[in-house]
Amino acid sequence: MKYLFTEEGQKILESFCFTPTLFAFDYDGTLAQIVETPSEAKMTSTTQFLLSELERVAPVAIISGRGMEDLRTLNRFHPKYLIGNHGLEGLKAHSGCLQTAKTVCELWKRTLFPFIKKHPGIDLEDKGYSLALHYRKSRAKGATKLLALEACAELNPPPRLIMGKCVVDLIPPGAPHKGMAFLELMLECNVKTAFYIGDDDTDEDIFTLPDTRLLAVRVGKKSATGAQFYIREQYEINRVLETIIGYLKGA
Amino acid sequence: MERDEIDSLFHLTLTLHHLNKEVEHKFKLSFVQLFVLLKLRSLPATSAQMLAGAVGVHPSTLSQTLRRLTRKEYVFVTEDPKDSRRKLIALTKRGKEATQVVYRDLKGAFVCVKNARECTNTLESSLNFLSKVREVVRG
Repeated sequence: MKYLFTEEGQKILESFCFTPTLFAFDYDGTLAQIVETPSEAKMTSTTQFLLSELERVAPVAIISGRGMEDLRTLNRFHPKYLIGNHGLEGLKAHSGCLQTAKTVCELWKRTLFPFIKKHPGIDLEDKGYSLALHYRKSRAKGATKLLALEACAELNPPPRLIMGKCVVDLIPPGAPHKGMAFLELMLECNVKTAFYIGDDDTDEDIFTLPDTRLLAVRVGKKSATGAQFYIREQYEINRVLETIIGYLKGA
Repeated sequence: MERDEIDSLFHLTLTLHHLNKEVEHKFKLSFVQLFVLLKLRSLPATSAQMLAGAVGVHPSTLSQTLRRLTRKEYVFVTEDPKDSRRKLIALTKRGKEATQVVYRDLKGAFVCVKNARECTNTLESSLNFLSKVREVVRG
């Protein structure tokens, strides 16, 4: 894994700008800083401006674990490709699974309700087609995470669990992961190459795609990752956007 | 094979050889080099093996071409950040500009040739013919 802002990283990023490329971004921790209350995680106005500038010259997508409605209400900038619920929302290919996912989530919510009432350190987020258990506010995060996992083990049908930063995402069975959604999005955009940047474990589904047409960048250095490059912190996202726009405008 | 066909084959080979030489002299870029650069545009940051597959040659055949292109700073070879045993090859801005110049001038030349589209079709038929001859020669 190498730092993106080295000579090698810059040249490879530039080479992706010579051909029609999809530029896709994770939301929390990548485009927006992680904050205590998830509903307050907004992009800065500079990031929103740079994204809209980028969208003038290339296809842009945001792929997030959040629900699409949530993403829409948080910011003024909405790209053409807005993918929510880890790929379940926003793609034509998965529109058939939505009703099933909604029914399953309702069932899980009813089962989890007494558990949530008993543990004030855990918040249940209903994303419409998936659920999330947040434990960022808990003081004993390790123990709370275990409690949340135990509660999830009781659910029927069993969910696919995605471990995020102080959050456990509960995905209905049969729903796609970010990697599948990403490949489908590439088909929908009719591009052969793509750039993706994310910070979370859920993004590994994209980073580890066995596809050489993908340039994967992680926010934060980590040894066990499928990403080729990293940026040090979330605040470097604007530099990434400026660099890409510069290359595309010069190309 | 009739003598006429051998004559055509010979002249075709010779003309291609001369065209390649002239293109190389004018643009400092052979057709093979141009083709590699064009492939690299659609395959950014790829391995030598993938690129060789896309060009249709053996990786060892490609290495000489890549060395020349690297010297001209048209391509950039670096370690794969995921696997230090592998190399990645990427097109540079200079390389991209070089392909644009050659491409533009050759396109201009095609416009000057009468019935260029029909000629291209004939060339396609000739290529099919040559491929079949190759198959027979290989046994």
